[in-house]
Parts: sequence; C-alpha cells; structure tokens
Amino acid sequence: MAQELKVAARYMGPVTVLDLQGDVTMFAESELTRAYHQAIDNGAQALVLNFAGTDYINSAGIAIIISLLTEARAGAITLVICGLSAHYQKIFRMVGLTQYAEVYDSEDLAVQELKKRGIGESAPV
Amino acid sequence: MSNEKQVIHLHIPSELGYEKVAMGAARSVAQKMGFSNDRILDLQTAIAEACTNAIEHGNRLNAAQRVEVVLTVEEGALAVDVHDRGRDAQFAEPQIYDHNNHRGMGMYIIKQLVDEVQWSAQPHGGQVRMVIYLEPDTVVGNGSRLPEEPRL
Amino acid sequence: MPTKRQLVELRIPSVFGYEKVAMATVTAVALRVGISGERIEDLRTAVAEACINAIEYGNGVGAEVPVVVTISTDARHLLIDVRDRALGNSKPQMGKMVDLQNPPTGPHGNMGLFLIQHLVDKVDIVCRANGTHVHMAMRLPDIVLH
Repeated sequence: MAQELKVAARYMGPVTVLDLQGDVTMFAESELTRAYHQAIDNGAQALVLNFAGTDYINSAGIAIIISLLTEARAGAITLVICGLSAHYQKIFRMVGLTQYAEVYDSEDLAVQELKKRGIGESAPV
Repeated sequence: MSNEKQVIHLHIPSELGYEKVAMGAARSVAQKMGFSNDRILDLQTAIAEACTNAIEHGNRLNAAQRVEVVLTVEEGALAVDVHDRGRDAQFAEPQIYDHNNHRGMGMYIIKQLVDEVQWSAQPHGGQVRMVIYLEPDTVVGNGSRLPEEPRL
Repeated sequence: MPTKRQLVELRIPSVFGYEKVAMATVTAVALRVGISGERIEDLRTAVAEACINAIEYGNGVGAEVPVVVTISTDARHLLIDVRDRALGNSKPQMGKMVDLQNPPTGPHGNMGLFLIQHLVDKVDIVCRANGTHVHMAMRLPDIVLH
C-alpha cells in the first residue's frame, strides 16, 4: 500500500530525529517501534518525532504514540513532537497527549529546545 | 493485498458536480493500491467523463436518479463501473476526436486514458466499465493537465 | 418543513485502510455544500474514527460485510451516518483523555468516539438489531446554495 508508514532516522549526537512518512495508523506499529528501538539502541537520549510527512493519523496511531511515550518515560528518554499540522496539533491536545510530550511547530524549534536543556551536540549527561 | 476482490459501491445524485465525489473516492482507492499520481489523474478524468455522461445523458439530470459507481480492487488492476438508468443506452464507440460531439468527446477521452473500456446497454440502463492496470507495459494517457482533486 | 435529502451512499469493505475512501468521499461532498478549512479536517477525522470503529468492532474485520456511509443534508446540517452490522447489544463507551499513570488498557476505539464527540456538532449512537449507527452532524455555513 502506498501510504504505509516509513520511518527514517537522522542522528544528531544524542538527539535522533525520526522522520515519519505516510499514515500513522494501526499499520504503522511495527515500523514505529522498530525505529524507536533502533534509535535507543544507538544511544539516543532524546527523540524528535517529525510528523511533517504524514497527513493521516488516527486513534490507533495515537495509541502507538502513547505506548512509545510510556516506554520513553520509563527509560528516562525525552520524546518530543514536531511537524504536526494545525489540525493534528489540536487532536493531540484534545486527547491529552500534549501533557506528556511537548509539541513544536518545527524541527528546528524542537532541537533548539532540547539543546537548551543540555541534550544535543556535546551531551554533558 | 489478498486475492479476494474488494468492492466499493458509491451512489451519487444525477447532478453535475457530483462527479467530483466519485473522483475523490477513486483517487483514494487508487492511492491505496499504489498507482502513480499520473495514472490516478488519468483515472479521475476518465471517471469524471463517465459520470457526467451518465448524469447528463443517461439520467437526464434527474437528481432523484442515482448514478452508481462500483470500484473493484483486483489483483493488479482497478475496475470502475459506472451505471446509469438511461433507457436509450446505445453507444457508438468513437474512434476519432470530434469537437462537435460533446458526449462522443468524453468517450474518446476515456478511451485514451484507461487500459480497457467497454460500453454496454444493460436491462436497467447504460454501463461503462473502465480498467487500469497497476503495472502497465506501456504508459497510456497523459496526466499532465487535469482537474484538481476535491481536497483542500 | 425542510426535509432531509440523501446525497450520497458509500459502501466500503470492512478492511482497515478503506476508511480513507470514506474520508475522501465525505470531503468532496462537504466542499460542495460549503464546508471548508479546519471544519473539513475535523469532519475527515471524525469519519475516519467512525469507520475504523465500524470495521473493527462492528464487523469483526470481515471484508464481505460492508460498512455503509450515508451522506445527506437537512436545512442546517450535513449529516453523516456510518452503519455497521454489529449485533447491537453493547453500546460503545465514550473514552477519556490520555492518562499515562493509568494507561488505557482497552481498545483504542473509545478514544475514537471521544474524538468524534469533540469534532462534530452533534453525534448520536444508535444500536439497532441490524447494526450500530453513528450519526454525525456538521452545521452548514449560513449562506449556502445547494
């Protein structure tokens, strides 16, 4: 299927940006968890989920994001979100996801913010 | 995708403009199957012509009459049947472009854009069946200048 | 009295992914009746959620049983009815906001209904012997010709 999710990872020191391309639905589960664990195995301390390449997210997809967030919190990994359309920013707020993951308009803003917190580039942690 | 055929039925009123609903539905099915954007645009234009023919000539703009569009997802192909309730379903397949014949032009365009097309008169009305193949050996049609899709 | 006018009927197989066909179809009709911008995005998401619920719960993911989407208007609303063939004994429960301290254990469909309720102007779930209907209504813009 053409819209099946593909996730590409970009490593920027301890920050890893995961670029999501395609639909975030139940079909995305194995690809998303694979990319997540690969990034963690490669030493990522913070993850940016970049949704700029996706224009369909549904509740099953949100459930996958929730399980990643739960796992990230348990492992003291920072997970932030960027690239959502205004509509899906609203949806994420609506279901309460924004209490647990910060949402930035752009990847630059997300990475900057992580740097401010001391994650990124030369990580002192 | 399994070998099993999956069928989508769509009924639209016989009112010009509703062909865009069929175009939008067909686009999403074709995208899901993995067709290229050019082929999708070809298919959308063919469906627009088939639906406007059915609305105007088949059902004579009687909004209470429905045009039925059936999309059948097959292994490697998408078939689209457009049915109307026209009683005078007699089609002469046009071989050449004739700009004086509005309806014939629509049929001519369809023929150029899809891999298979067949017009037939059924007991309940007219029917056109169009098929596009997922990996055609030859590129058919030209998807460069076509109507906007009904999205934002 | 203004009467309800049925515009479009769509039947999709009960297979995940086909909700996108419903989204595309509803979008095209919504544009025709003058709904635009963020309201269309809201409607698309609500329709997707109603359809995946119908596919998942209603039909137990059997491709041969269709989910039926009916699109109509009354004087003030665009009306979307999503119907499945669930034996209507258990009315779906409305979900809540996410709470990671108490992670959701049930299926995500509850979240779907939660979203629908927040995205459309009216929603009504009716369980009948022949299936569950999710009725959704979106107000039409004040000035509209249709």
